[in-house]
Amino acid sequence: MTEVSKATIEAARRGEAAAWAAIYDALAPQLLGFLRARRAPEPEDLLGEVLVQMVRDLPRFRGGWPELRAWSFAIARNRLTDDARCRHRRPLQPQPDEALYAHAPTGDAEAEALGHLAGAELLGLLERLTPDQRDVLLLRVVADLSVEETARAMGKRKGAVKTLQHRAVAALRRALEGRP
Amino acid sequence: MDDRKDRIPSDIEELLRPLRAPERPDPVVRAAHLQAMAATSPRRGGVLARVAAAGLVAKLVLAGTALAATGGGLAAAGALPEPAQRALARVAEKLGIELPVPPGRALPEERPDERPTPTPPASDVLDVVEDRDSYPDGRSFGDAVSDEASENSQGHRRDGDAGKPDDPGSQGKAPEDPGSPDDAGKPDDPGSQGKAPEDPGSQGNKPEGAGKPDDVGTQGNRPEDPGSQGGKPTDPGDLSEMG
Repeated sequence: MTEVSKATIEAARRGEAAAWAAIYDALAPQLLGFLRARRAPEPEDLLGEVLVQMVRDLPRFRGGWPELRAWSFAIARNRLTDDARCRHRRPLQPQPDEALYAHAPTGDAEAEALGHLAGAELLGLLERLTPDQRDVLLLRVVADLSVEETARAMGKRKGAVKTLQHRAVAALRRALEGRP
Repeated sequence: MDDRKDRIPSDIEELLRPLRAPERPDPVVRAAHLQAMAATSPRRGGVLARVAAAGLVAKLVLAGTALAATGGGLAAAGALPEPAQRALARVAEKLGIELPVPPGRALPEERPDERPTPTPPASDVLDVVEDRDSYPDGRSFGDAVSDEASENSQGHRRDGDAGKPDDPGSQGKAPEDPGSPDDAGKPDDPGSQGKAPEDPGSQGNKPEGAGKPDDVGTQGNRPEDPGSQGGKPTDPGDLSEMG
């Protein structure tokens, strides 16, 4: 994973476009993966909103790269919540699971199809977890955050994150066993 | 990072790996996002705002300095218009600076007090209340409070109307002798409800009508009429309260 130095963060704070591009390239893949795994209807739009929010709030941010990553996922979670509320008030036509993988790289059609199906099934399994359990797993595995960073991103204590993770793993195993 | 490897079981990590595959956003999307981020950058807006604000502040400071220099010079020379000169002199006096004051009117601080400072209306009553123990019973205490309050009220009413002898709106009271029957309704009293002599219908100017039953309640022209408000020379303000 790309690391971003504190100097780059400071440069971004000064408004240097190159620094923001470096931060974008380092954060965007994990953020996009997280947003898609959370079944955001328009993950790329949300990604843009998350990063714009980061630009807006960076003057108040204190810390280095780990803190910045955790902060970006905290913003992403908040945006997802806002987006879900907004869509609840104004329901839209739901998209099929396959649409989530529309941007996947093209190649072997069979492998791609299997991958889509596997991805859709995996997302379906994750749906069986509670939102916090699902977020802990996604932040730990997809975003590659540590327990401490996950706790920061979720606004919880480390112990709570470990407990959630333990329960999430158990619940996922149960879901896998009950799968046809 | 190590605790993740320790804690997440490998089978679960393998299961979730497809979701983990790094996926770069489309270049067009990336460019749009970076553009939006650059447009939102508070630092950029802040710099522009600071530059703009600095220019505005500089202009304001220059304008203020020029105004102060010009105004100060004119004020020192006494060449400002009279109200401005007086206002500036008043301010400068507080700062210990003497500026020429236009002749004719002194500064407000130098004017003699035209009105006596009114005493607080309830102070006498409060004195009585504080001496509650000196009264033998509640009735005498209540009477004392009542007397004090009514006296206070009358006294204040008088105080309040003192200095209104030339009040053009006073009703039927001649300033010099409010209760004098000769003065009531005279034409030199502009606010009098008594009519001018040429008004033949005026009740205020008919001596023969004084005291007649149908005159009861007319205002201010017949002191001998017990119902007339004009018959209370010591209470010139009552009519104004009657509306």
